[in-house]
Amino acid sequence: MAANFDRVFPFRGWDKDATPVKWQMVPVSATDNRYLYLHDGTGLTVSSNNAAVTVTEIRLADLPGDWDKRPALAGDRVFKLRGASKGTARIQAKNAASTVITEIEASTKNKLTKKVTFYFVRDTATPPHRTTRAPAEAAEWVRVLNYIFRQANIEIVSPAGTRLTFAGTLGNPLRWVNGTTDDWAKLRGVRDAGADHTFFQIWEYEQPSAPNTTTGAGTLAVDKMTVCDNRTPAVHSHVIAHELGHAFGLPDISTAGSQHHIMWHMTNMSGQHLSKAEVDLMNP
Amino acid sequence: MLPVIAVALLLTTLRADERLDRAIVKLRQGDPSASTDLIQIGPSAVLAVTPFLRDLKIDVRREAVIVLGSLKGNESCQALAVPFNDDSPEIRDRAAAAYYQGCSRQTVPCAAVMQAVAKGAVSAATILLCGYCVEARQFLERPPGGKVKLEAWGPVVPVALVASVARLRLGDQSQSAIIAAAVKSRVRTETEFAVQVLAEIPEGNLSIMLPAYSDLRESTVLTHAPSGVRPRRICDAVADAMAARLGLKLIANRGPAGRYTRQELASAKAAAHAKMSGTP
Repeated sequence: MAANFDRVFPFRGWDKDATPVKWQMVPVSATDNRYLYLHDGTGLTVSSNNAAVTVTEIRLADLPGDWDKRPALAGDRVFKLRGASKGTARIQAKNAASTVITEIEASTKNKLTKKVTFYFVRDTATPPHRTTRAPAEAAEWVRVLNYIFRQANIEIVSPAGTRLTFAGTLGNPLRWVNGTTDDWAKLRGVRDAGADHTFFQIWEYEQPSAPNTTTGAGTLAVDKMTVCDNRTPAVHSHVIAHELGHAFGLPDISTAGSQHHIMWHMTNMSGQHLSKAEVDLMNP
Repeated sequence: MLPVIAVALLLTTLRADERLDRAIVKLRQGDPSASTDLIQIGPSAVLAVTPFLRDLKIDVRREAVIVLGSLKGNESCQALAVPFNDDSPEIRDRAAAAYYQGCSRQTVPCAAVMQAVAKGAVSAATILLCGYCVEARQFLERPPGGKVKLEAWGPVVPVALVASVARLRLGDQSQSAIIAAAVKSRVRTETEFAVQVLAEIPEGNLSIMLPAYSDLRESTVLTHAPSGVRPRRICDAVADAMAARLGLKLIANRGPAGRYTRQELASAKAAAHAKMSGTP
């Protein structure tokens, strides 16, 4: 097999389908590094062509012991990538004649921190409408969100999930109609002014969508808010990640072969992957 | 009766002080709910929050910038100049964005803006603020490479395009053709950006926006409908933005999520053109 680079850890900003070469996001950080295996690379010299990314060979035993580490193959060499400053570099493995045998592109990204507030809503109707989800769930969602958005060097910080009692009656289902005189606008009036984004967990949500589709959540980035109902699929945190993807500038995708992306248009079947293009949109 | 009122007032003041104290304790700890509490307290929190802009912990500085950016007002805006020089690019960018969105363009802290520029990795808001600082001319003429976005949701555009908007703002008429090309660009994000920063385009150059009235491309950036709902087109957004900028009342009001008909767009464009050319 020809020499080639591969990721050591999944979901750290690796895009094997990037063109013209595979791509790795590297945080600008002294401590948050990225790691690559070089398969079949015995005798090759590995270097970076831009000081924005430094590359150092390390021992397999020196890799972080994170739970999701992928196993090495026999003869693999291991390299640590460190982002020194903003920029893009080629990590190249060359032979003795200085011919590039294999390479990847590495782009460094500054860390973005996004503050997201989770409100668990009930209203004062009789009987009240309320979400069946509990504020205690928010902490676990944030853990999953950070696992996913780590691909773009984005960290979600969040106050503890909060119960929000809306003084008034909201619809069941709560509908987006025009964003100015509807229930959406009422919720917008109580969003967290101290957050980059407010996530309203409600009971049931509807908006005008394509025929024969059901919508469990809607995000309006300009309003810095998402409304999400109880009926979403089992992996609720993936739905939240998808909606936050919209908040950070990502569109839905529906092209064949993209089902493993977090922005796959049917969130009940999506994966967790972010491509180079998506990372660049969220954290240019 | 007077003593009763005095006691009530005293109690209210004490309660407010206690609330502020509790919120400041949270802020000191970097608790992400601190800013929510402090924003609710209002402008009286500004003085207490300002010293935390120099805190060692980034979580604390982030909360302080969020509070001041949300409270706006003269004191907040003056204080926001401090984090322009922060060591963290995230805090610098947050401060610039908060200033750009909520503070007067008459009093842009140019010395602080230039400090942010000198630190490198500038944001779109910082570059646009450079458009109010003559000392930024040299930087704007040779902007760094890369791409930026003004809002979390985009659009992502080259730094050079943002610099062109700032240069036009500073009176460099050679940039007008670049913005005009962006308005007509096949790259949708460039057109979206031109509409997004319409407020920065001098009145004498607004005619470069007219081609956007015919732009039927859908925009996820300029829309006011949630994901999944049919988005607005660039032409709808520009019709509203130009009407607001020129003080025009459109015959039809489609709301921030609606679409105008072809006739309504033609009429809006004609009204804008007439207003710009001074014809009745």
